[in-house]
Amino acid sequence: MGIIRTYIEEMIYFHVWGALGVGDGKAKVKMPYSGEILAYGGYVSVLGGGNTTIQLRNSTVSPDKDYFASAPSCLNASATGLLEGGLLIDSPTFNADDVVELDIDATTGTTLQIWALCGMFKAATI
Amino acid sequence: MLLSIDGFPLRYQPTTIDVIAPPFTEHPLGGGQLVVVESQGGVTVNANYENMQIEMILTELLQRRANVGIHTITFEDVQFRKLVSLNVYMPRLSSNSTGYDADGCRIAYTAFTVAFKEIIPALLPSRLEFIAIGSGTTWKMKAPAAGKVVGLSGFSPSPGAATVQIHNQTSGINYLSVTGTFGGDGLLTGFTVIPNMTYIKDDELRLVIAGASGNNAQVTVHGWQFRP
Repeated sequence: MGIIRTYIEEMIYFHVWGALGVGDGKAKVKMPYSGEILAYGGYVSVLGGGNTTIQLRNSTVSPDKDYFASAPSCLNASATGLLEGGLLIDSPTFNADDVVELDIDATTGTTLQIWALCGMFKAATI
Repeated sequence: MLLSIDGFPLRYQPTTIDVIAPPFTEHPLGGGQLVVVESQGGVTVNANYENMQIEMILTELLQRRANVGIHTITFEDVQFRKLVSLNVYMPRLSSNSTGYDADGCRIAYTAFTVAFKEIIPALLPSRLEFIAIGSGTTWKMKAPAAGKVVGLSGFSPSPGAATVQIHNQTSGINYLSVTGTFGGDGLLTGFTVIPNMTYIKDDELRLVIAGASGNNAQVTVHGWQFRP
């Protein structure tokens, strides 16, 4: 018996429903496999007259690791509601069972979806 | 170089690694120009070992069950100076030279190649999840990579007379020739996906719900996407 790993890509979603508030850990996902963040995006249903700025943070490692060197935002000026800007850190990796949390650093909005396209090693035992 | 299998770096590292693209064909035109067409298929990664005994390498590879099933190899691409991961299988080894060691009567392979054949193309399954709040709503998502829509699923806890469409705002196309509705069990039904409809990276895709749908709903677009 052994473990064989296959490389896959999966969308990981973070949802926050209703009126948004500033704070850490507004949504949390326990990563199923080890991997890295390849791309990201998001959408806020109602902008509410201001920007919504987010951060993704690995709360399992010590110290906590932020995945954005420059945080992305849903900009009120653009009025699209889509997540814009931001810059991932050089090595946005995570291990299996790491908890990644969605932090909201600024907002006036309602209902938010953030997605991260992750390349991961899926393990199977044979 | 750091060649690893399934995330584990090999103890015995190759001397060189060559990435061999699939063969291409040439078609000369009447005016003397040449059209070059790349063939389909994955690459072959040759891990070349020199001045090592094959038993050393084979023992480690067999411990990793490299000769069974599909594995992931990771290595440093010299040209782009980054790590590349591929899903591969390992065919049998080929040797470049053989000889006898100092004790005699034993063949020692001093140079040989382990070829890893990429078997899974760059197309991977994708799920794009859209959520909807109330009726007459739209949800937006920028496509994470180029891809193709092949299916749809969804659920609403309060099914009603709402219709569901997936729309590409960037190119102006719809992906359903027949819009979907939420049946009595709340599941999305009655839709028809137009075959071979694609999108490119950063296209703005929208879930459009028209009519009274009651409360929240979730719609998942199933597809194939290329690696970003």
